Amino acid sequence: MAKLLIVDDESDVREFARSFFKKRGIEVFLASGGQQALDLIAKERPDLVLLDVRMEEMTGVDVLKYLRKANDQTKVIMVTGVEEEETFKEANSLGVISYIHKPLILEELEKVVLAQINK
Amino acid sequence: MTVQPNWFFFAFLIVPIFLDFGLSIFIALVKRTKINMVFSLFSFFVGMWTLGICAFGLVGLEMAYAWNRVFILSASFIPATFLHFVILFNEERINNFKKCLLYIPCFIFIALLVFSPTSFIKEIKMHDWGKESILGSYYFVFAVYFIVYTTIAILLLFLRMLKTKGILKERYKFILLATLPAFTFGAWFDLVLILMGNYKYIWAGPYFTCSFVIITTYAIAKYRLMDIRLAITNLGLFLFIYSFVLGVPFYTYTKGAYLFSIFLMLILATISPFTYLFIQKRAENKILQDQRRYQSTLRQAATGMGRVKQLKKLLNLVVYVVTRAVHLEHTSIYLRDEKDRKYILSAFKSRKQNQDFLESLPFESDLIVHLKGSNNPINIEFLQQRNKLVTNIKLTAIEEDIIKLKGELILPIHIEDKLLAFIIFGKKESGKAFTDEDLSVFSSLTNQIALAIENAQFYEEVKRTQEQLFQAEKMATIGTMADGLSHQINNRFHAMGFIAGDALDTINITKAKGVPDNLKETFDDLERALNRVQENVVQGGEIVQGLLRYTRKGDAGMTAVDFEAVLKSSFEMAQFKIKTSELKVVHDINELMPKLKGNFTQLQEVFFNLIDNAYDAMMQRKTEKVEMGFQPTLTIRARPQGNFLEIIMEDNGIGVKDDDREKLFTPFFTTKLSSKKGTGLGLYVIRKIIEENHGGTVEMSSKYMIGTKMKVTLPIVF
Repeated sequence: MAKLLIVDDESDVREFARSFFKKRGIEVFLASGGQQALDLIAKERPDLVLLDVRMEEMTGVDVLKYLRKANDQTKVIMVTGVEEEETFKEANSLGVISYIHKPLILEELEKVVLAQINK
Repeated sequence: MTVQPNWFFFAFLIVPIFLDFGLSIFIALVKRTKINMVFSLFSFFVGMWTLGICAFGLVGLEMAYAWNRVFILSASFIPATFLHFVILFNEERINNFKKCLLYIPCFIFIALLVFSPTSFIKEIKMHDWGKESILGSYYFVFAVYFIVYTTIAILLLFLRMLKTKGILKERYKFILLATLPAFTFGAWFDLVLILMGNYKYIWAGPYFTCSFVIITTYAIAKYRLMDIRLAITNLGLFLFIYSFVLGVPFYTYTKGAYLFSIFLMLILATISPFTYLFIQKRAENKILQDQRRYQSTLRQAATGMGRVKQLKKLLNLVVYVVTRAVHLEHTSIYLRDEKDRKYILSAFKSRKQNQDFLESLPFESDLIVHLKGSNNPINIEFLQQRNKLVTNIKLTAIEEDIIKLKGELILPIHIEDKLLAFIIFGKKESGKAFTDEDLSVFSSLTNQIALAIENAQFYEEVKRTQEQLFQAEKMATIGTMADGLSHQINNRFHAMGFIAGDALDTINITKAKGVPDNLKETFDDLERALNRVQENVVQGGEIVQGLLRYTRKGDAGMTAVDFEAVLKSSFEMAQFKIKTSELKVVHDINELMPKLKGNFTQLQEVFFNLIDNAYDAMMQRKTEKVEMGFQPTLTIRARPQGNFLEIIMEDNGIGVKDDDREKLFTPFFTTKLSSKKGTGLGLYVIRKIIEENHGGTVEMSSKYMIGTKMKVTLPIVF
């Protein structure tokens, strides 16, 4: 079973995304912050991570940086609310699958996620 | 005492004496300038001379010697004071040495009269027709002095008169008119005839001489001779009232009604000051009626001016009021322009149609330089007068400036040593000259105008800075708010989208499994509702993105950009949003196109928005109006025009209604239907990027139901 980690500090986002992807036979893990996300990635080795950029304790980019530093090449899709060229460039240089903007329509997200997981 | 048979003529000399002394006192009292004092002295000596003759005729033989000396003595001062006056009147300099020289003959004659009276008058004989003085040899010297001095003075006056014109010429005419007959007849009866041995008519001279008093007085009233105001009436009135007060009781007294006289005198003396004041006020009102009228109008206007806060309106009010009230041919105001370093015509009012006024006058022009250092008004008439007499390059240049401005009178408006503006007065419609009275009214008026202008300028400045501040503050607030807020709002939209999306997904799955017939409709309703929620989420997200673009500063990096590349990527961007296949795109672009100087991302945004707008407009036309064979067509043309590339994008969409056209470039204005996507920021951002960041231009022309044409110019790289 494919594993998907959703990192977002919004509980609604986490909850409904899990509900949606569960129906597609994907095992979904949830993290509300950067530290939790790193722990889960280490423990569960998800196939794909949906990573929110702006979070309170640790930003998505920080999580990504930490990950790549630890030589972890887990696939990551960055989800951001605001277009920020700097963040975009940094994330790109650290190797992300995609950089997508909020708000997202689940159907569209599904296409991207399935495309990655089925690879 | 022997009474002469012609005593009557001598006695009546009291009238000329009265007039001569009256004028002397009047002029000295009203305005004590040097020239007025000299003229007053002149008039005084004429009076003394007349008094001497009068007394000589009336007194006994012993006393006649003394009075004879008095009138010769007084007469000796007449030519000297007159010549002195003429020199001053001609505005020629006279130092103390020359003044002494001028008066030396008088003192010589005084000395001679004191130490050797018989050298003038040997003796006085009594005839049946009156007294006769037998003249001594010095009398001839005196006559020569008299004639030489007066001739010189009159010649000086006459020559100067020929050189002048206008009101000054009038003044000269009157001085000549007043003094020439006075001297001619005075000298004829009291010098020439005496020298010829005829002493019978010495009383006649003063009667003619006093005519100068009447004429001078008239000239004072009419032509501001001696620079004296219209106090004439006051003097006349004073004499009239008090001769009544004293005269009537005196008459009754001579008739023997002593008590009645005293009583009458008391009453008249009590009421006369009031009567005097009353009549004086009336008389002044009558004489100064015209002036009073516009003075009060101007005063009223001046108080109202402070309340006008719009500068343009204020200046128009000033020229209008002044022209109307003073009955001028025209009035104009030139206002200081710090930036362009010149004074610009800011308001004018002319009675004549189509009168052109000089647009502006630079700071360096001679008139401005002069006005900067002077608070006094310039009267062109006096300036021209002076320029005719003395050649002064600067003054001539000033005169030329004033002629260019069509000015008759120039009034500088200063605030703290700064020449804020100046007002040009045209001629009075009556053709009359500007009087001192006028100038004093105008001077207080200009003070008021200065304050009012400063007030209005200050008010406008405050308003402007307030607007700028408000705008800057608004932008800063939006900027900081937008960043945090857009994140928050986006998260809400994001969550909402997920909630709706998941619910929609559940519905779809359930429906796929098979829904009981009685619930089918409910499921359809729910599906539709959730779809609408998702659409709204997407639109909300776009508004947030637009807001961010609006507040964020553009990337300053400018490079050489290929327009076709920009256009290509813009179309690629647009493909995600619109079906580009639905429209026909006509490229009319030159193969060899110069590169643009610009920021690729920003320009991409611009053309993406333009394509998007055109598409929406064409789709709106397609859906709203059913037209046979309507083909949405977007034509794109690009041509180098000088230093710029001119890009024209023309669509055949719905177009813009006239009412909306002006609002299009303001933020948050949209004509797009609310169900469609429109943030109202597109054109605002386009203009900002093109005009502020790139230094280009953007213009739009549009016709409803025909199409819209956008013209963009962008700078070319060299």
